[in-house]
Amino acid sequence: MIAIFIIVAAILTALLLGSVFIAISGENPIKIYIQLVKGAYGSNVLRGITISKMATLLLVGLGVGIAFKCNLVNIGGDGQLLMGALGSALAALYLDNIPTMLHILLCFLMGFLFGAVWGMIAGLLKAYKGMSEMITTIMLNYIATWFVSFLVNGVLKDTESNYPYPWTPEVPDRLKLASLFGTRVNIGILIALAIAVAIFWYLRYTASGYELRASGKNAEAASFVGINVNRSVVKAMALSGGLAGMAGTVELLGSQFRVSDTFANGYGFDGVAVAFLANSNPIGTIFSSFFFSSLQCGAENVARITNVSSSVSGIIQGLIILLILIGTSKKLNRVMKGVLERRKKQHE
Amino acid sequence: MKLLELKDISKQYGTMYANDKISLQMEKGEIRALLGENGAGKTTLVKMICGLSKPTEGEIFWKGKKVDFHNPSEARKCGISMVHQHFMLADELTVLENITLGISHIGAVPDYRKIKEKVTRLMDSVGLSVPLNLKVGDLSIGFKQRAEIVRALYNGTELLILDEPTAVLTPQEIKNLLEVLRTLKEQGCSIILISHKLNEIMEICDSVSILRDGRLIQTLAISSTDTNELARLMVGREVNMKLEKAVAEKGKRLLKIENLTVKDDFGTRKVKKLNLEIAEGEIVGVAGVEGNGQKELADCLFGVRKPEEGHVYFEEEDITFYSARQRRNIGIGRVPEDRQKTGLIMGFSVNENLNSESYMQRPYSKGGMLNPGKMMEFSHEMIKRFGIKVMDAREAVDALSGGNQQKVILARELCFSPKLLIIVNPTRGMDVGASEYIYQKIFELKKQGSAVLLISTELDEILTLSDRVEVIFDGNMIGSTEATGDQIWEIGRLMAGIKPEAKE
Repeated sequence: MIAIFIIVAAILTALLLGSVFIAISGENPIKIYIQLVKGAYGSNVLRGITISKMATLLLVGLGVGIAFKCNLVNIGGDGQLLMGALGSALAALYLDNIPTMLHILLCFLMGFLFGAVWGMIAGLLKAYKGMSEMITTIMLNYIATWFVSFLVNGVLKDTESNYPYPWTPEVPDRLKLASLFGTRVNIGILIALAIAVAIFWYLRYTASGYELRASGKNAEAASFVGINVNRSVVKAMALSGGLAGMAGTVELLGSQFRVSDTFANGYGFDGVAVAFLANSNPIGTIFSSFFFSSLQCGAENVARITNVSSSVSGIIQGLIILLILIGTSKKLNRVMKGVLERRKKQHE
Repeated sequence: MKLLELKDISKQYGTMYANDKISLQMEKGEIRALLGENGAGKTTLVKMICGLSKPTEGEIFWKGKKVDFHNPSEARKCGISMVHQHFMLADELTVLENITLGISHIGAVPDYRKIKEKVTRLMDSVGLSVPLNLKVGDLSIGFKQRAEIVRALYNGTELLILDEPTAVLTPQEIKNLLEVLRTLKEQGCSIILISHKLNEIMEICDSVSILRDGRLIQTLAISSTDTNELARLMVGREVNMKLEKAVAEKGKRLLKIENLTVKDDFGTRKVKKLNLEIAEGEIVGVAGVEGNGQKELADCLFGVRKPEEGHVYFEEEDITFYSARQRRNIGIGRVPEDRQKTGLIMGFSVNENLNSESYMQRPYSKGGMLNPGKMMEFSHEMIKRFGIKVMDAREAVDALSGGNQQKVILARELCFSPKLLIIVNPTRGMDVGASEYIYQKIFELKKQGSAVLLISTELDEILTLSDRVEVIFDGNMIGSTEATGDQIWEIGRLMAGIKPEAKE
């Protein structure tokens, strides 16, 4: 309850502070916020873009959230997403003569596997060498980024395209994710929503999910009751990376259709914000990914037609997380408690 | 004029008095021992002297003037420094940098050459030597302690407080330390030494103040006392055995520990070739002053710390390298010492904690799927059977009182009727009622023919529960006695490291 209050208060405060930047740009904040909603949902095309983005953010956010649940901070979403997209692209471009449904499934599987391996490396280093997953995932981001760049500039480069861009050939049309009922929203969002429910169920109703959460809450006590904490850490990082990898698949088959060296686009870091806003709850992640994708897509649209730069969405996003951190900080809670008690005493 | 004078110092935590109207005086150049069991209030007292905490009541006089320290640096300016049990050094800095840390008058750009000269002169004068240019993190524990002492002395200390300085040292290092303390005394420095080791106190101190349950029992001159009297004063209470001991037939050997050696996290051998046997239907109490290897022994038996050498046999089967879960599955129940750190998963609900071992078994899970209904049913049964006071099993375990938290752990461990229960300090911080309940549960287990290994620093508890008392000292079982009240002096002597054959 308190958590939800803090989150809502943080969002409102951040929007309020954001309006200062809008005012500085010489626009009316209220008008801009209305324009922002319109920009995200004003047309079929815009809805399609926003919801596609939400699917990607949701999957990455779920991944980061599951790592959080095991007390791990996975900042490697970018690298894992990129590796997942690479795996999917390999399956999409180099496999042939497979029924379409099976082929798409294979693309997702490859995306998951590539991402999972990339996440698991950090998990193994954490569990058995005690290395901070924050550092290793950042380093793995660099490696993934430059490895993919190396490939799309070399062996995987599209040679038949008219453009000299460093990107892979486009995935075959038959593998592109279908749209829902005549809208521009692709089925990626359904997959992502189903996975959110699955993760919720996994954490709550399986022995493995229980172990993962126990290891995150108190690793020492968990090992005393016989839970293999190291295994949980590796599992959490593999799952986390796998989900980011699948986000890569959705992004590839649903929006971008080619892997390029700018493919990851900072999704991994946005995923941290998404998971944070949802307090790592898989169901909450649905709402937070919806919120952030609307904010980002709306802001881009606003920037196109007004003086307000789209950076404002980034500022608001950062402010929200910062405000939640402040709101949940132990020291602040203690101070507030103290103030309340002192007031009570004065009244008496 | 006295150097230091405490007048009716009290320190209250909640409703409990950690120190209750303590008055004492010290002269210049005196070495004073503070002696007492765990929780007697020794550390609480010296913390107030060195400015780490403030007394609830009472006054402190330093060189005849009333002082009121708000923090340690104020005390340091007056010449009072403390060497803590857990060193307060920055591992990443060199010894020299550590020594100058927190000294304001050395300026923004300290002249390290000059400081080094001064420190070297200081070390020579008291017979200490520490490599000044090494990082503290690379030093052994003994050297770290010397660095702490040098830092304290560099501030021009007139009263040096040492909190159990020898607990972490090897015999050679102890000898060295005592030598240094003697030199310091000759130079006019006064020392307060917290220790349980009677031999050391007899060797170096001029006088000794004995604390018990937060009260000052007596201050004696060392010349007018002996170790036996000190041991008696330290434990010094009639053992109150309210509970009738449970009677059970002693069966065949259940647990055998052979030449067990275990290291702590820092690589120091804390358990040294320890041997112990327990039979069915027997409660064995391991008594001892904290830090003599109990934690490492327990962790090793729990299956969370690998031994360096030796074997553990359970029902004649070698279980030395069994995992924690394997141990549970063969019938070993484990109640660790620290409820909130190792016993319970804080932040989890009561329900989740009660199931934290059984969740792997049917019917609570099947094929990796949990059965929340069955788990909740189990929790309700346990809450009823063990009388755990909780409104809702879904409540976070953090909200429970200490006694109820301990009941959650006991329920988790006793529900599968273990053949052996290893239990560490089971009633620490609990009131009498909750303690008695736990004692009864332990007796019930004994009546079923199970064995109990009780590791505790509470002598009362050990004598109330055990059939046999083994005393652990410096990682070894130094001796064993019957668990009767008239053995308490003998146990006290053993706890202080005086071997039976050395009896006068």
